Amino acid sequence: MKNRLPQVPSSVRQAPFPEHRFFGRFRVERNQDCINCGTCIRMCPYGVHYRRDGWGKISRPRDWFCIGSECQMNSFFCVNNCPVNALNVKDNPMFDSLGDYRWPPYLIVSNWKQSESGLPPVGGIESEAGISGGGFDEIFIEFPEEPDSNVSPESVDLGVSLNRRNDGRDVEISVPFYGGGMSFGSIGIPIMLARARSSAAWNTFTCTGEGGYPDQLVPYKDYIITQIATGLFGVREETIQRARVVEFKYAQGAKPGLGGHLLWDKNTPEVARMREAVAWSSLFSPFPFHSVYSVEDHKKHLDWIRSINPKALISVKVSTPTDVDMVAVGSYYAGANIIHLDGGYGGTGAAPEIAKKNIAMPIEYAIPRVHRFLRSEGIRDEVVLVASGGIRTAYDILKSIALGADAVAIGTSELVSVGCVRCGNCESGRGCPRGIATTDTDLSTLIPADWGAQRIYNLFNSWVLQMRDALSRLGLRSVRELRGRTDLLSHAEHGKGVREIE
Amino acid sequence: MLYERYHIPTTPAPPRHTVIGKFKVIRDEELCRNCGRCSEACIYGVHERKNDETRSMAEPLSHLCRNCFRCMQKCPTHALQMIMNPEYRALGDDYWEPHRLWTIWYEAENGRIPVFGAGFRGPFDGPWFDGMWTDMSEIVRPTRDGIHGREYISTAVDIGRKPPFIEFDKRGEIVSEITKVLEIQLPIIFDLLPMETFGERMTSIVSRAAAWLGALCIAPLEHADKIPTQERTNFVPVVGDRIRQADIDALKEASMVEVEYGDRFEELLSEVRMHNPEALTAARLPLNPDLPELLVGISELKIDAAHITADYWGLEKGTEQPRHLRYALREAHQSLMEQSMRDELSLIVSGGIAAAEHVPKAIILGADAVAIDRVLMIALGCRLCGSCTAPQICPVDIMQADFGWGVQRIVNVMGAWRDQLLEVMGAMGIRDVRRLRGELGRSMFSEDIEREVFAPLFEGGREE
Repeated sequence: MKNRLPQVPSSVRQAPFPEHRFFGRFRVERNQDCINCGTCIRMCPYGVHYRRDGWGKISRPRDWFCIGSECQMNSFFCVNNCPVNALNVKDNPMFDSLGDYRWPPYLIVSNWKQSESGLPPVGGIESEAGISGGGFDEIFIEFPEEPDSNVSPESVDLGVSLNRRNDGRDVEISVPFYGGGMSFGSIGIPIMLARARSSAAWNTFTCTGEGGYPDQLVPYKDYIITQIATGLFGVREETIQRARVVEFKYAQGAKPGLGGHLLWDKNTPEVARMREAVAWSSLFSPFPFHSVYSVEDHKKHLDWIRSINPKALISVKVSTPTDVDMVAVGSYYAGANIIHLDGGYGGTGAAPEIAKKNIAMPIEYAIPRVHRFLRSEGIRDEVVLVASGGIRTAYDILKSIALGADAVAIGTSELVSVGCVRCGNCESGRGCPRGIATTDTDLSTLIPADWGAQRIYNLFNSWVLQMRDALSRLGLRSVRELRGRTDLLSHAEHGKGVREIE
Repeated sequence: MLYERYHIPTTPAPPRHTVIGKFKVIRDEELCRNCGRCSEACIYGVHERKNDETRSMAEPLSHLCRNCFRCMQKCPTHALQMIMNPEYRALGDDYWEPHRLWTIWYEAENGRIPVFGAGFRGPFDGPWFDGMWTDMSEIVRPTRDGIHGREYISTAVDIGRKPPFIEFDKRGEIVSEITKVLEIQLPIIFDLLPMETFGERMTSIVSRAAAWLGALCIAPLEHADKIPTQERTNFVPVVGDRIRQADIDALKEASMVEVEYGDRFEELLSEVRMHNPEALTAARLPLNPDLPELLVGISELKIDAAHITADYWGLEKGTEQPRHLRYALREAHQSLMEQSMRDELSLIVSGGIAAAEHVPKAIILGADAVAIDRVLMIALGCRLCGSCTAPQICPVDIMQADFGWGVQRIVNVMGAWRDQLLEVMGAMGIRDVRRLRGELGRSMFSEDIEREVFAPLFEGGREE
């Protein structure tokens, strides 16, 4: 896939962290008894043990390469081979302090490995799901024991059309996912550029979020969705006119029923200029568009965009209330091309904890509900259903599509790719200490845009390989054939999936 | 009358003792070269040099650590390690989990809604309150933009009996009996009764906070002498087994009195009414399987409210297989609804209210108001270590808490909780907390939605 835009990655290239890898899952300890004989260095094929040139003493083990106690089956296991029993391998206690139920430490590390190498991770289930005890973490894809050999992975088509109204405005993405909205202010320019470049490389989209459209992104405009949210920050005619897709954000899964939050300390002068707001003041977007209190008002909104840019597809991003199916149908009749459901456990740069946890249903319930309702209304094939809110891996993407979505939007996994540890400190102070969710003049330079673009490109490459492999094993030639195929799923509690009666 | 919108004045009240942090940063003295790259990397001030010996790094200030791993990544010798703080993990119990305590401490310190980055980090769903999601409105239903008071949402509730209908005579005069109700500005009442420690200081702090907030403070009648006269209208005395002569004056000043539900209930109730016919009366009774019948029985005594007390986990008392409020309260509310008796008495619920989200959830399940207990202690820094029997070893010496500081901490928690209640109601488009009561349709229960959505999709779900 070649792309002529500036600085867009064109192939997988190794992109390790600039510093050393800071920890691994296991801890290798060497005690005082070590006689520096070098047996371990010769034995370990992973490079855990090494001696610096010219040094007599063996250096501290690079335990992030270690494969752990399962290595004891190997003849080269360092612990067994050490003549003086000076070595010990155990679980790294630091691993527990990383991650959470939805993004356990191994999921973060597996994302990093994919982002570094561009290849699917080894080690089954651990790179597929989290430990939240519900939703995607309890749903699995059922592969046939004898895979269909007629479909080669390379031939599987992952493309999805974003317009199904047959009005000639074709917008197709080559992978069944695009980047969700992240505003300038919540993240800085380098990360926005990294997202835009990797999206351009894979012929998909990323989204501006509600903080305006920085000029640096304009070269990649064909791959950027302009978002219009309730704060209307930085919304101008030209930002709508240059977009192939315009997204209306009615609600966000992490804070359904609340507007965007940008706390005062992240509203730096540059951000404020872009948002046409006063610097260093908290920006809480209103929850509703005060111009929309009914489906009729909603239609006027969409008509407004259509009159400014008749070519653009319109996406309506909503969250998941009890009547999410009615909202979806209403949006369809108002003229939306894409209905984007953001589930209650979605990502955010700042949201009240009470809203993240308690308001609106998780996406795993909303997808089949809306899919079913749109079908019973006879309009399922005229609208594109995009799901987001807690989609972390290639497998989550496939599960969402099998539950009834056409495509998904992702966000957090891109940030994890460039080094997010999900510490959750994006919202205030100088922002992200790792240089991701920040516009602080020092911190936002920590991650170069090119390196970030390569990391995200690599992650997407790995996902594409995983999805092609999975679909070919399922005997599907295209990701579009997977939609609604709940018979290819199973649920840990409810058993094998069945095909819903059409 | 000048219109004054209810507002809770919060102001920062830092903890008196270092808060137990989630993480512990460990520096390996042997490996550390004191190069200081960790202190360059850390934006939270965890790594500082020693004051007296600036060539060496000081012990990391772990309580400031926010888990970003940057110092570890920058350290050239891998001398730094981070673990979950075992002290943090040991806090509280399975219901009063460490993060609940931590959240209340945060609210007490800042008086603000806890806002953080990154999506939800917890389990998919959980038992009891954690298996409920509240609703939101968009496009097809209007919303309220309640945050920061941009659109007004009322959090006031009326405690008391309400007539089911009003009758007029031919001249248009009201002939129905008009009952008295007590309007409180927050659906949250302070309950001092279940607290292990019950020092005088605690009573005076909670009582002052209640008076300041226009809330109510429930305490035993015998403690009335510890409550200043000007706060007596916010004081709800609980009558246990008898009324002492010395306490009759206090009883007369109260606007509401609770009577423990027991053998002498009716006797004590009429005694209370004799001393203070104006006061509202409430029965205080434990959450138990017979609740629906009991409520019908006591409402015949024209009682104004029932205060239902669950245990600290929100569970029923005195039964082998206790149910949580989520089931028992819902059942009691619905049984009153079915008998068209729901407005005959208000339901106040306490026990297991451990977080801001529990307030709207309990109200959705059928409560008019909730009462909080342990939260008041935690606001003052309590770590639920259980050493209250020997107050001298209390790690945060609550008994010595500064009076003004203590009041502010409780006011801060209530300010944060009220704002969170406004957010939850604004998201639903409900503008009055009185209208949230029993709105089960504005909630999603995990088992219902799991069945509804997944039953047609998976074999196992179909059998039911």
